[in-house]
Amino acid sequence: MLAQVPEAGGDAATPPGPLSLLPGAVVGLAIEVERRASAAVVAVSERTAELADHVPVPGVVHRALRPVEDAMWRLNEVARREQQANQQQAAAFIPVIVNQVTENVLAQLDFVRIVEQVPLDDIVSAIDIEEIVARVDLGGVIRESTMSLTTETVDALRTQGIALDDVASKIIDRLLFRGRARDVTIGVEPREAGA
Amino acid sequence: MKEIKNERSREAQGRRAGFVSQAIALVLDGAWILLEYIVVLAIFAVLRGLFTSASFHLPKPDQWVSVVALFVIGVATLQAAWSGAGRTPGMGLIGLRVVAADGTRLGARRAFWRAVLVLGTLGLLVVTSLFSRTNRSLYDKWCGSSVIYEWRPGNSVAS
Repeated sequence: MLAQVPEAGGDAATPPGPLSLLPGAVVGLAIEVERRASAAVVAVSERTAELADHVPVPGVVHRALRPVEDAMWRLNEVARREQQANQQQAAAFIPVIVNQVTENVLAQLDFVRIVEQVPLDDIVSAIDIEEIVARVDLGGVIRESTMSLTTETVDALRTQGIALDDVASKIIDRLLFRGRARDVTIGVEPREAGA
Repeated sequence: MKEIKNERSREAQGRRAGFVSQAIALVLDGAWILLEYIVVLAIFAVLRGLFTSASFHLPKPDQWVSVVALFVIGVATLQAAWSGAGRTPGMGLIGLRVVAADGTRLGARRAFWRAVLVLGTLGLLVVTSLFSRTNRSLYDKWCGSSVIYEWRPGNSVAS
């Protein structure tokens, strides 16, 4: 554990000694060195790149650097593929994690106790049943459903009537050796040969 | 207005009805006319009970009186229905309508003569629609009318 700086107004009776500050100081120094080193590397690489863009490179150097560049491209491709694979694995893994967590949370819940804490009596007493009934047009609902039922029943009987009409007319047409179907379209008056 | 669910029935709307539907509608109309006659007799009995000392009972007129009364009531009922809405109570139940041959409303005069012919022959000539190529009975040919399927008012070819 790293020693903490005592807060103002806190317990000043036991101030940390210099020895106890040593681990924290070492970690702090390491962090500072890493930060400055990385800043220096970035600065050097940027300037080098700018310089390299302006300096003409001879063909011999180009040929010598070619294998290095190829190797860098290969490594870059490997890294890119690895990154892609990692992303896919993470995308597949997240739903599993979420489901697992949800199931565990639900398993921990005591639904009976939660429902018992809901004030159902208060809610029911707050509902005005008469007001709700007054708003619902029960007569209309009953009337509409009854009419719908009646209409469907009558339609079913009428459909049977139409089917019987067709059967009867087909039997007679067959007995009279009529080849053509009857013309029952309104307004059409063909010559009646068999009537 | 509720839509007709059966496709075959939906397509039949506005077309000439067949024999079975017409015959059933005529039987229902006959029952309706008989009911009207009984109601007339009941009204007569009530009025007679109000203005005379006779007890309430349905009168039993002579047979010819009943025939004439039924004929008159029937002609009035059928003529009014066919020249008006185009359908009698029986036709309304079966989903039929009487129209002129071109699909327009049947005139009062044609409706009257059709009613006379139907009642004069007790509706028996409706059987001729069974042998017609166009489902038209002799009543329709003589009076220039047609009986069509029309389950819902106004869903035939011409209203």
